[in-house]
Amino acid sequence: MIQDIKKNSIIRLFNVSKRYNGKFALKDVNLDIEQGEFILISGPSGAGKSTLLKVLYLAEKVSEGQILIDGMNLARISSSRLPLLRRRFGMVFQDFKLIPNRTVYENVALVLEAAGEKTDYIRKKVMQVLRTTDMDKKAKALPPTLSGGEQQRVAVARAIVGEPSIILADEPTGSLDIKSAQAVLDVIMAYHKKGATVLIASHNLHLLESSVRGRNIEITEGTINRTATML
Amino acid sequence: MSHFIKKALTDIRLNRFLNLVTIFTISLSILVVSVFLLFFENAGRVIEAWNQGGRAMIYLKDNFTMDMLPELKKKISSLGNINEIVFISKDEALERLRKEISLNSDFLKTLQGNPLPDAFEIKMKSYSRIEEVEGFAQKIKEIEIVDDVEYGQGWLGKFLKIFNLFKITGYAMSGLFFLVALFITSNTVRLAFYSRKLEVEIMRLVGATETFIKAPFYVEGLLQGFLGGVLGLVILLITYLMVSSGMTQGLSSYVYFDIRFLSIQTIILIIFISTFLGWFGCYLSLKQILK
Repeated sequence: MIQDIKKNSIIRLFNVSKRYNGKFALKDVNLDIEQGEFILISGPSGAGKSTLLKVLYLAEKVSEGQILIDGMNLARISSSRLPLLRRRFGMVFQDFKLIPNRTVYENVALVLEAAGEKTDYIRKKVMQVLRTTDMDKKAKALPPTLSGGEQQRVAVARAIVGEPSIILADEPTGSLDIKSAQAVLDVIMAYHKKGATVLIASHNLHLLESSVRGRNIEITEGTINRTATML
Repeated sequence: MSHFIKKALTDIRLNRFLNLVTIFTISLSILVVSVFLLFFENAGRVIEAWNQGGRAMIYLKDNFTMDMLPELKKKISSLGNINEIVFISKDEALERLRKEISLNSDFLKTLQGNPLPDAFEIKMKSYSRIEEVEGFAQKIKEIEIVDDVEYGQGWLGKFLKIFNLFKITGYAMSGLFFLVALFITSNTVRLAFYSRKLEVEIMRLVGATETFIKAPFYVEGLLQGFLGGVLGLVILLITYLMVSSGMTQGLSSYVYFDIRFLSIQTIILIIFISTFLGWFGCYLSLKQILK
């Protein structure tokens, strides 16, 4: 089955299951995502959307099955190579996950510092991304002083600053008003248009379904229930 | 590296109180250790000075006659460890006494005869232990014509007893304070780590290596240790300057009393140990947290 990988597949899941205390959060999931594809993972709360993203960036290990990211088998990744895998992803969370006592600039720069980039490059790149997300004027602000929408734009800036090939967003607009949500999605969509693969887990469909070409994967009780093409 | 130092300094600034308590605890521990080291260094110099210029007097019995002198001198010299041996006859000794006390002393005029014994004054080679001196003195005492050997055993014995007592206390106190400082340092790192749990989690998510995550904690530990060591030594130096000048003035009319501050080598060693202490506390803490 593993030999049957499509040439431009970037993510492949083979019979992936994840159990918590014997209860399935994901059950026998098979999925093939191509480079540059846009995937909306939908479903009710507790369906397994977040778990699916977590097993991809190895925040959780699968109970059964295998996952390939760009040909790399996650089951065989050593802890020393895990950071390299994570740098392929840009992640956005509903609760932003920003460091509260670090400035907007420092939060975004952290990705490049962790990757060992040079200071001059970091300064230039971070400011460029902050301009893209319209947060450059608040570079010196601390996250708690920003609105939810602004914080999420900083989180998106952090997700794209390292130019990852995959964006994983877990309910990125879940706690935002419509205007802020649209601004956040606009930035993600702009990055997707540059060729990045995007997976967004959301139960808030109406903003996305009308504006993007991609696939909607519906999960119910840990199983892929339905796959539909958007637009 | 500059990133880690900058980060560690920022963290110290943000957790000022916690870091100050740690630095102060380390400095206190270092102060205790340094006080003992200061004592050992100065006491060591006193012992060394005694060893290098150690003199002893060998007093002879009344039945000593001058014809015994060559053979006795040869016998004592053959025991070794002697740099110089000088015979002082009872008459010569009395003459010296007269000069030292006073020419017109009534006490000496009332003397009938010479109460002083014939003696040898010897200059000994250096010894590393008091037991060696005692053994040497015992060998001389075993010579039949020798009445007594005086080599300052009274004050030296007492001094060495105090020295040894201080040594044991010093080791115990230093060990205890080292453990306390280690405990405090590792707890500070633990608290700092838990207060930055979210930050560590985010760092991992964005692809930071464990080295990148841990390095600022280590730098912080090293800085705490270094600053604690320097502070401890500064407190010791201030105390030393205040106490030693008063002590030297008070004792100068009785005895030459020269207390010196710690040598450069010892200062470097202390700072190295305290810096290591900070690092080790951090290492223990992170090992436990991240296992």
